[in-house]
Parts: sequence; C-alpha cells; structure tokens
Amino acid sequence: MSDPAQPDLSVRVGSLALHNPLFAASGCYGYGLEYADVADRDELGGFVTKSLSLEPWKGNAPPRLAEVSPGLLNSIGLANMGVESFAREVAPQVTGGRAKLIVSVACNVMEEYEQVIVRLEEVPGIDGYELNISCPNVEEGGMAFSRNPAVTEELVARVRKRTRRWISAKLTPNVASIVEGAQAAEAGGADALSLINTIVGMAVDWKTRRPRLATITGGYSGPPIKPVALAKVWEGYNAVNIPIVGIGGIANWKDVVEFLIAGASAVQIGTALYADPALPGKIAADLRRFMEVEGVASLSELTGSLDTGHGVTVGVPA
Amino acid sequence: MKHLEDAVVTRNRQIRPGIWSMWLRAPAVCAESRPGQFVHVRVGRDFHPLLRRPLSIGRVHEDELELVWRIVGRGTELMAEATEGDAVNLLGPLGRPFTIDTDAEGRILIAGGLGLPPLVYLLESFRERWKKASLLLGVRGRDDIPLAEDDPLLREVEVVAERGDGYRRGIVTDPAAEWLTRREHDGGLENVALYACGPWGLVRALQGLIPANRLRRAEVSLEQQMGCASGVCQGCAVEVEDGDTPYRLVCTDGPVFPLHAVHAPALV
Repeated sequence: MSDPAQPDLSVRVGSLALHNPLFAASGCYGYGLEYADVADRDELGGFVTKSLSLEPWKGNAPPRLAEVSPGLLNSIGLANMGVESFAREVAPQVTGGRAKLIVSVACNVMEEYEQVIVRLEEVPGIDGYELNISCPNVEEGGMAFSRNPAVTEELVARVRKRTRRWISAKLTPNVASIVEGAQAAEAGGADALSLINTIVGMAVDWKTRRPRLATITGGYSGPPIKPVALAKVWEGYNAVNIPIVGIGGIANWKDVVEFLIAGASAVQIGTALYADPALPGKIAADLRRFMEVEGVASLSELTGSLDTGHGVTVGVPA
Repeated sequence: MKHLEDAVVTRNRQIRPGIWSMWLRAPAVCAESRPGQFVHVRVGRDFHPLLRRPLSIGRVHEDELELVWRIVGRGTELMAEATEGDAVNLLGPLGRPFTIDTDAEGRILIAGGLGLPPLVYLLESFRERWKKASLLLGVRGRDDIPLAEDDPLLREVEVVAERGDGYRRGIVTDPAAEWLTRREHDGGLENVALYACGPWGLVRALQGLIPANRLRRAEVSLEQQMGCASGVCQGCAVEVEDGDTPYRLVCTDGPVFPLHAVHAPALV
C-alpha cells in the first residue's frame, strides 16, 4: 500500500493499473525469479517475462553477446523454457505480488501465438501479454511480423479473440516509420504498444576480421539507443490513441521522465538491469523526490506533455 | 544465495606488467563462496562501461577475497584505479563450484595463464583437508604468472613457460602428461580428480590428452562473454553435450563443467 505522505507513483496503461511506471523489460528479468535474492520484484510496477514460445527454444550459437560500451549487442535467439514449463513450474511462484506479471510471447507462426495464449489463459494471476513481434535474432517470424502492418494487425486480432487480458504489441524500430505498424496493432485490438525492441546492429573485431556475434548482426540496446526510442515513442504517441510503454536505454529517473513527456504512459528498464538488478527501487525513490521537488501530483500528467513551442503537438519528424 | 554487496578494497596492486590483484572485504560473499565460483564486478558507478565484469574468486581468507585480472580495456583499467577503502559492488557468489571429491586419492590442478586464481582457491581448500594436490601452471613467460614474485604460494606451483624465463620451458600439458603417466603406474587413474581452468586451447589439449572416463573426475572452468551472470539474459551460452539442449549457460550451469562434455568453439 502506498504511504499517504509519499508521492503516488501509480499510473494506468489502459486497463492495467501499476503502482509505479517501471516495468522490467523482457529478456532482462528472466522469469521473475532469477534476481529474487538481490532485488525485490515488488519494487517494480510490473515485469515482462523472457519471451515464451510453444516449445522450448535452444537459442542461437555462441557468442551471443558483444559489449559495445555503453551499449550491448545480443543475439540470444529467444532461448526459452517454453510455455508449458512456465505455466506449470514458474507462474505459481511469480503471480500475486504487487508487480504485474506480463508474459511475453514470441513464436515463428501466428497459430502458435494463439496456442501459447490459450495455454496461458488457463494460468491464474497473469495480468497481460506482450506480443514480441520484433525480435531481430530469429530466422522465421520475429521482426518480420512487425515490419508488415497487415500481419501485425491480423496477429493482434487473432490473439485478441483468445483473451480479455491486457495485450501490448512490441514493435520493431527497424522500419522507416513506426506509424503504420502502430496503427495496425491498434486496429487489431491491442491495449498498448511497447516501443521499442532492439535496433539491428553489428560489431566487428578488426584484428581477427570476424563478427563478434555468431549470427553476424544482432540487437543493439542500452543507453545509446535512448534517442531513437524517444523518437519512436513520440511518433507512436501522435499516431494512435492507445497508451505507449517506452523502452530503450533507460537507466535513471530522468530517462523515465523524458519518456513520459515524449508520450509514454509507463516505461521498461532493460539492459541496465544487468549492471544493477536493484535499479528499479532506486529509480522509484528518485521519482518520488522528483515529484515532490517539481510539484508533480501525478506522473500521468507528464504523458505527452512535450512542449514543442507551437502549442499543438502534431509535428512528427519525417 | 547470491548477494549484492558493497565490498571494500583492502589492497590493490600490480603484481606483473598489466596484471593486478585486489583484495576486498566482502563478508556476505565470502561466507558462502566455494572454489570455482565467481563474482560479477561493477567497475564504475555509472553505466559506462555498461556491464559488470565476471571474475573468478581467487583466494578467500576469512571475510576477504582476492580478484586477479589483466587490464584489457576501460573496465579493467577502472578496477586498477581503485584504492584502499574504495567500495566495489559485487554480485555473488555465482555459478556452480568445482566438485570437492572426498573419495579421490590423487588431485591434479592445471591452469593456463589467468585461469590460475580459482585453482589457487581450490588448492587452499584442499590443503585444509588433505595433505597434497599438484598445481601446474602454463604461461608464455614470467610476466604472465598471475602471482606476485614475493607471493609464498608461488613455491607451491609448478610453472611451465613457453619462453622458459628461468622456469621449465614448454607447455603445461607436458608435466600434466608426465604426472598422469606416473600416476597410472602408481595407483592408477581411476581415483584421480583433475581440475582445470584456462583458455580454450588448454581445454582442447586436455581433452586430447585424457581419454573420457579414464579419470574419476575431470572438471574445467570456462569463461564467456557475460551479461547478467544470473541466468537472465542467456548470453553466456557454450556448447556442452549434456542432456536435451546443445547449450549451457556459463553463469548458472557452470562455470565448471565436465571436461569432456564441453565443445570448444571452432574459431578461437
């Protein structure tokens, strides 16, 4: 319960009510148990699981990581335990807390998204789903879904028919404009958009002339991608009427506030959690101080409050 | 269980050109640490460098532990800049330790270069219980020995250097092969436990030297690019022949694996 003397950090993302605007991003918080020794899950407003597929996936060949500091390239390939193990063994341990449980789903074909959702519908305590249709590191599906607005709409619509739970579509930034995909997800019935997934990138070892990832290219994340993510959140905010969850390079409270101003209703902390799994609690404390000092009554009032200098915020960079 | 602990630097010095040894007071990590485990070190206070650095736990003396590293970039440079009294945030102890095999009768520890620290830790833990284990170290030259010249432990290590440098000239598998041959004629190999840590070249050489299943136990500690060190990011996969998946994570399934289950990558 929130202390009445403390600023209230709660926000809503459509039908989803969060006690603070901080999610842990998919792939950066495991299934919710891995950091339990060192960080309190309930310091998060919610957490998004590692993406689950119908069957367990082994992931890509190593090396899967290349630090390009202060960013990170990864090519994990959605290695995961599969929906069944999660539903049976993990879910009962991570439901019921203050932190909302959002299960990320990633499959090769549309039918499997439906099958995974159908299985998860049997599991009590799940607060929503994030459809990962934007992974740059798998051969089939992945980013290709998000790059095709017609496919995005159909996929979201098919999942929508299977659940009344909250759905967010996680879109790729690796497109000329995020607008079409955002509108397609909205048309399909998504409750929210998660912007953005990783940016396709590459690292080369000049000495050996080899790529530093086995798959040659991978997904770039971490603080350097923040400006790209902010631009996509802003584009998305101006293109749809559903709320946006901002993701990309968030590592401190100022980053969070900036994403809210650019149009996000909540945010996800990703790669920075590898450096500091206890970061969300610290950011939440900093956000309370920010609200006190700046006299902000509710974080929601920040969403989309970007002052563009000419009143109406419709100017989206081409 | 693992801890996030602000450890305090009690000593930090260069022990060889570019190689550093740091002692840290870390009561929570030390209380639960076992030989073969590692810590994930936050080298700075901000996010540049972004990731922590995974380092094997070297010697543990009461509530202090030793880390040894070579400067290879900004992160390891920052660690070298830490001075007595500085706080360094550790995540640990992490990973599966070496198996302390109480029934083994012969113990051989084989290190390549900076693979030495976890084996020194293992040697010291053996010394508490048993009289003897052999620790072999292979290096290019004297400057690559990850122990200070004045470290009394150096006398307990059989050093082999490719350049000689006053030590036996050769590679570490030379004395390892001799040790195993002697042992085969004197007591047999069935009760021998072998522990190794070093570069992939050493792993491959040992796999070639020792047929699978000849020894009672053969374990190797591996290194890999690491993100979270907690099984979250799935980034530190290595190929290990073990069960239903071709990959295992160095951070949580390892870093210690059965020597013969590990597949060394083609390009190293």
